[in-house]
Amino acid sequence: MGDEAAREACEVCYRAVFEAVSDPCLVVNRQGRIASANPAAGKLYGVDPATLPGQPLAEFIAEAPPAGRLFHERPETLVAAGFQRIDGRHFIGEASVAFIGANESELAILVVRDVTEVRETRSRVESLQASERLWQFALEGHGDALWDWNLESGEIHVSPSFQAIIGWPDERPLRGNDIWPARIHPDDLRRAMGAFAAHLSGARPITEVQCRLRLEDDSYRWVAVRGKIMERDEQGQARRMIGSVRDIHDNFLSAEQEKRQQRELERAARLIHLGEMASALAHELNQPLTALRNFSAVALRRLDELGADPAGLREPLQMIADQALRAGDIVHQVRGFVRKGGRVVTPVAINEVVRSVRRLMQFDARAHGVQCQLDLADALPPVLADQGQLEQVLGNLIKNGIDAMSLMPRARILRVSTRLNPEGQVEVAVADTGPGLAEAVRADPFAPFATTKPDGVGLGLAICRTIIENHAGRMWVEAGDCGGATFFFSLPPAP
Amino acid sequence: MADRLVCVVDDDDAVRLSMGLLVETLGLPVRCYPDAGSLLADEGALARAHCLILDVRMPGLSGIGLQERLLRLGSTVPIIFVSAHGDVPMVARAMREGAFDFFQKPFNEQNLLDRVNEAVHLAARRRQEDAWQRDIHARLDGLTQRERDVLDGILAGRLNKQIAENLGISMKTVEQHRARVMEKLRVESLAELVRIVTRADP
Repeated sequence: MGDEAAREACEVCYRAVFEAVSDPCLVVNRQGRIASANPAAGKLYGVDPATLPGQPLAEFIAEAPPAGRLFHERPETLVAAGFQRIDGRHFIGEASVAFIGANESELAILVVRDVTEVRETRSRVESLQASERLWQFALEGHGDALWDWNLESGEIHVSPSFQAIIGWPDERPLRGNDIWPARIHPDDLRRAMGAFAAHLSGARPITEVQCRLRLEDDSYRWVAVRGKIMERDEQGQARRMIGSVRDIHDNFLSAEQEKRQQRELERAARLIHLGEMASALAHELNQPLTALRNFSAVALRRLDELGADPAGLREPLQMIADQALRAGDIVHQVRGFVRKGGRVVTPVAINEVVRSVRRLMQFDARAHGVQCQLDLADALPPVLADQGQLEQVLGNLIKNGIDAMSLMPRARILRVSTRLNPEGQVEVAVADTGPGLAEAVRADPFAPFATTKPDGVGLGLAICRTIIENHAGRMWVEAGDCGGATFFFSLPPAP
Repeated sequence: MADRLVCVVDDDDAVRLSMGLLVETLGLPVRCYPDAGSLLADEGALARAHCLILDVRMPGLSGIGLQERLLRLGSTVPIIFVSAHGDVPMVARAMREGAFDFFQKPFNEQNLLDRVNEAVHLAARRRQEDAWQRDIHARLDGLTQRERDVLDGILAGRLNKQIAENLGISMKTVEQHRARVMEKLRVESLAELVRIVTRADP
């Protein structure tokens, strides 16, 4: 028996394996017909495997190659074909092919696998990826930068254009926290995190907020952040959130500018009301100022008649008389400020204005223990201006400086300097050694009604700046070198 | 100087008082009134006033109103306005009506005092001139018709003979009339006669 017995034993053994494996197997002869099929194959095709032998392979495997080609080309696999069940339902299958025997008795063994599910999942994933790519493309095309935030791991992926906004130098892994809250402007933090929280809790259908993001260079840019939860876990907890970031800095600033212009208009309206008030007040103030001037003038004249002035009354009396007229000028100018009353414009030597105002202010300075220093450039060109208005501006700046230093323990030095600046403008600087600009007025110290003085109405600097601007000049403020504030104004030289 | 009265009208007590003291430093007599009505009531003062310093805005009659009233009364006294409201139309109106000057309160008192002085001098000259005119006209009014005819002949540069022929009277009668004219007009020479009569308002 020997070989024969051994082969038989082996065949029994293989048959058992053939019957037992869970993979459907079809044995096909050179005529293209099924020679044998295992129970798994019957199960796959929904038939009794005993009925399969003798059936043509083409009945069971769509697009199956004809027998001649199958045995000629001897493919290792048959892939992605629409395989057909006996009940007519299709499934996607693939088959590994092996060949045994030789010549006319050669057989092909097909191990068939149903890959419908695998294939559908894969194609779903592929189409999902494709649509996501499209979606990204569309958004990026509109200048929106994207982010994809895994809330479970905390990891966040950002698109290159998002990176470009922030200026991230590299693609180091990021966590959501690295952006919000870490990069959100402190003033916007509550609002921004509130927008995220409202969406995460389900209170809002989307996260939508405009805020400032800190860039790599530590500056801030206004951005519009939008986001939506894409996946939630079984408990409804957000797992993944996808969104966009749009740079709205320039739009935002121009909107801000519009708002500011609106505010300026409102201010102007208030100033007009103030102008009416000033007009009424002018009459009431000018009367006592007239009396003040007259009485001091009378006193001076009587002093003249006496000849001698042993008590040194002349100077203070003259100061009273001068200040009364100055106050009158201010009253007229406050009215003129609104009415745009005619200015008397002549070529004015700015250094003379500085000296004359210093003379007027020196009592005030001395009374507050302030040392007033002048640093005047020689050979400055004259400016075309209303001298009275310039005196008012300078007087106001000096008075502010003196007031600012009145509570300072250290040296109180007020320095008024003039120069021809590199732009060719005549520039005047009034520097004090006070505490610097108060927080309340730092944003815009020239805004009308911004004041830190308990009895101030906050018009001084507003009027000063308007006067300077009416002279085609510019007024600004800078922090001083050693504390304090320095107010500047510049005027074009007379042509 | 003592008759060169300056009148101040201002409703503000302190301004009025200070203005009075100020004008007094010029050595001029001053009277102050709180409103236009009080000044109008003081006819004696008005008659002597050489300068009025008027506030514009006052209760009752305004300074401008007072100016109009005085113009209608034939007053030529110089008026200086002072106002705490320097409204351009108001200033223009006052100046058109012949105001001497206009000051916006508060003002440099020296400028005001200079103008007060000028106003007072102008008023004094006007008063002298008015007095002289009244005097000359009184003298001219004293001439008879015949004397007036002879005077017209003299002013026309005619000789006594021509005047006699024109009037149909004798040379001697003309000479008598001529002597009476010189006497009545209180002039010593023909030149003086011509000068005063031509200076007299028609």
